[in-house]
Amino acid sequence: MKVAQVPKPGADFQIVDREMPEPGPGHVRIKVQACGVCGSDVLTKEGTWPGIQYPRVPGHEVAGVIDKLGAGVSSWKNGQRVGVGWHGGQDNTCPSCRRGDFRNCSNLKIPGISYDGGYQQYMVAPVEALAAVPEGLTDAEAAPLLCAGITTYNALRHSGAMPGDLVAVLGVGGLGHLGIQFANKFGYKVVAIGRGSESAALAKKLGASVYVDNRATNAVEALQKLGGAQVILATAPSSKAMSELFDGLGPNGSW
Amino acid sequence: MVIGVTFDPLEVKPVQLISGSRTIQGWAAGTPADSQDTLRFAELTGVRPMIETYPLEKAAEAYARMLSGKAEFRVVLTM
Repeated sequence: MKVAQVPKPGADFQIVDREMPEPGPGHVRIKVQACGVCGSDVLTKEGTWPGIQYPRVPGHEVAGVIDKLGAGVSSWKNGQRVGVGWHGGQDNTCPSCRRGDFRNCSNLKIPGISYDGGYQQYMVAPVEALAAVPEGLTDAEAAPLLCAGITTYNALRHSGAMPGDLVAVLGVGGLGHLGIQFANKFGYKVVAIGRGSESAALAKKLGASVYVDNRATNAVEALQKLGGAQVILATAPSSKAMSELFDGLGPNGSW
Repeated sequence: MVIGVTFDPLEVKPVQLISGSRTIQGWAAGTPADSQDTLRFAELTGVRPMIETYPLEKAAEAYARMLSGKAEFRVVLTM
């Protein structure tokens, strides 16, 4: 099978042939159909995450089909469509896991970092990493939803914003274009904030009621005119842009 | 909610937090059960990522495209 691997930190990708991996107990083998390329794959490519063993196959936005079950796997079936995201398995024994807070497991496994991820034709993952993929989504659509999608969806649904609240999304990019859509479907009044006027039409098409070009307009004033944001979803990877927008929050707002 | 990953400090004065009792919070993705919720909600409501696809063999090109910041918007390898 073909894999795209990083041979050592900072080195170029290599396309190589490898033996098919076998799923151990509690694991499944997935025939990968699609895998998203995420900004945090830089951690594997450049070796900035500590303790990565090389060569390593990146990829934590994986969509595919279960191809082989390891011993003891009873709740998943061969041929079932599954996805694997950033959460690649928890240890079930650390203090966070003992409280049921698997997201904050102190030994969280991450596909593409702790073990080989989705830049390959077949990958092995533990069952606690699996999400079922519904019929109505293609593999290529499902893949980015397993990291960029879940991050925006889950952040917004835990943000405390209620239907009708003013929610601002800073950045119309990889995260922001999903954040705008989810925020709109959650029933918020969505203000999208981007650089330049060229994102305006797209932001509105995705569900923003208002678009603010923060090169031409003072976004804080624009938000305060609308009563202040209950939540600002800060997706743009710029600490400066985030900091400048803080005062766009309304009373008891969260940013 | 802060979800855009950066390594530079945020500059917010304590008085900005106190005025209006406002908060700053970060958020990391979620569990596979949360992923399943995300996928089902997307299926139900029509939320879809905008993607550019590349074959696995072009992983290096796909990765460079992601890094360029010019992709609209998520880069996806297909097998």
